[in-house]
Amino acid sequence: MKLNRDVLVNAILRHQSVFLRILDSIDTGGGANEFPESEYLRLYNQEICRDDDENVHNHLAINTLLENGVFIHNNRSSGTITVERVIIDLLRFIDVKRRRELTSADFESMRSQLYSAVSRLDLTEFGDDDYSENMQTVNQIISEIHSKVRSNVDTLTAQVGTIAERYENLQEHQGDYNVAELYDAISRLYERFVLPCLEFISPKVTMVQTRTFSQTMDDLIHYHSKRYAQNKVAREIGYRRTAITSYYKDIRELAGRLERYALYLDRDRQQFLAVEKAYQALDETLQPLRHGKRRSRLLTPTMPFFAQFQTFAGLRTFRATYSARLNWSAKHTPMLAREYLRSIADKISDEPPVQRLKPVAAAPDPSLLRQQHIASVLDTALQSVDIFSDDITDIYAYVDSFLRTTLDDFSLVDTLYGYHSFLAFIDMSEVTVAYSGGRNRLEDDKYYFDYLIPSISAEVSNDEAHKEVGHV
Amino acid sequence: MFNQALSVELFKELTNGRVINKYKLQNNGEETENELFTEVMSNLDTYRLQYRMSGYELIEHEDYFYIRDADVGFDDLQSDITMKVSVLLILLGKYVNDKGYILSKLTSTAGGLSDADLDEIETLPNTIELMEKCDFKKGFKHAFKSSLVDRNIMLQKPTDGRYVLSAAGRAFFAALTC
Repeated sequence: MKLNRDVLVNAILRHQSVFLRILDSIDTGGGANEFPESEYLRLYNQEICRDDDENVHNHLAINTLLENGVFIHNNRSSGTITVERVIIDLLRFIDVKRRRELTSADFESMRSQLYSAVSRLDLTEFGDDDYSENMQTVNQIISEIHSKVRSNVDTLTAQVGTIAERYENLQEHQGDYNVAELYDAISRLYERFVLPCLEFISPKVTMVQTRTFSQTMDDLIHYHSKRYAQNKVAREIGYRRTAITSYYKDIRELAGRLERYALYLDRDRQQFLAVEKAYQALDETLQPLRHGKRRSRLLTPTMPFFAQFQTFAGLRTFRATYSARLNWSAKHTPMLAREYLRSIADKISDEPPVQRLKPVAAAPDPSLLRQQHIASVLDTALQSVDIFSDDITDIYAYVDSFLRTTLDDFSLVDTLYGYHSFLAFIDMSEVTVAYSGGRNRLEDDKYYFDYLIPSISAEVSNDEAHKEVGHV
Repeated sequence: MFNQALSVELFKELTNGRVINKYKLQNNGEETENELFTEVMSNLDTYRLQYRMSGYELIEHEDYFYIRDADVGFDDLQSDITMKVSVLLILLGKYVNDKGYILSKLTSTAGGLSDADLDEIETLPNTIELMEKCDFKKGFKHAFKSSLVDRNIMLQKPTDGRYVLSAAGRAFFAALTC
């Protein structure tokens, strides 16, 4: 249905939040004044349809907006809707933060338009029809430049305000952005938008083979004042130029604020990048340790990565490596020794001291009664046991083990005497006693006996030199 | 003339592997002069001699000092503690970056890490791995306390219990940025 445009504008303003989001969608979509139809339908259902006034539902329906020129095209194949530019400008006019900053291309477009128009004017005679037509164009371009520069200053002021807000949040440790992102945002705003605006209206900037905005305006003033002595017109043009270039001060101030933020943030950014770099290097150091085995899986101080950190080089707990120290003067007093004994008292074992064994040669000979008893025991044993069924490799050990188990009050002296008694009971013509060269040791609780091992075998050796009986 | 009581306290602090900072935190969280630092600076030659005679080297910086073995070669200076402290500080720096803070979160007395921050750091996957690789058996918070707080590399604000870097801790990040 056809509607008056003021009705539609009222409805749009009533739901400006929806259209501002559409504007955001247009800005992220490349600035072609197009947005997805599906997004509008979603917002229409979620927000516009909740309006109590049902007329608004009809006013803001896609078909109504298309019919009345708010939406100028609905592309079914791509699923996008194109919005009338006036509506876009209106929305940007409402919300200064959503105004688009002028880029270098925008400024260059404005400059070249003005330069072309003034160049064409320069070919005309003051007062004729061509002059009037061209001067009208020049006036329109100057007005448009004035409007855009003013709008751009407002936009940039709002953008710098947003930067300031983020910076304060960062300082107060409420980071929605990290320092590197904010620094990049500042750099981008400064280089892409503030600097081109500053250069556009600065009278000091010069261009090769063409004229800047200020120079073109000077040419226009010169055309009227010098060529045709139209000082009044020239003065009016001069006022309009001043009105535009007066924004230089505002832009310069914005640039100064951004430079200060960038300067403050630069140190934080350096720290940010340094930490990121260190962490990255640490992560690379960890890579070879992620092998899943038990060994060589821990970081060690000798790894090359840690060589760069010298702030705490050599820091460690020294006390852990030392035991308690006596902190007394150097005077020689018995207290020192007593304290030492006291300090080591708990380390001294309560076990009785180890008795040192004596050689068995120092032991007294057994009594005659004892000798007879040993001989009797051995005699009885040899009668009941055939000891020559196998060779005896160690006669001392054989006698010792026999007597040790038989006698109640065994002593190593008994073994010595028993050895001689043992040999006395054997017919030496039938056996051979020989020394192999090996040594052995027998002990009781008082004595020890080191000896060369004598062995006995039933075969008679031809080497009579080795045939020997006796003890060491 | 040196102060006997302070020199004894200094000896205990230094031989326990702690750093002496120029400032400590007073009750309102602001920095105030550390009498131990002032004591050494006032009798610097005496203390240099004391620790040199004991086989140590007094490592003096503008805002902090500590001791280390005098007979250790440059290649052997990297101790286990040095390694662990470095890893923990880098971990804190990374947390600050990832959360969108700036480093003054760690340095400013208006900032500081809260217990909630420490809890969050402890649960991060990279923290768990680094604790294992550094052989910290009792987890991040224990490592933070034993390696940073107990050694005066991080100071706890009496008012709100948050932790900020001491002069020595700040020196680590300053060196990192250079």
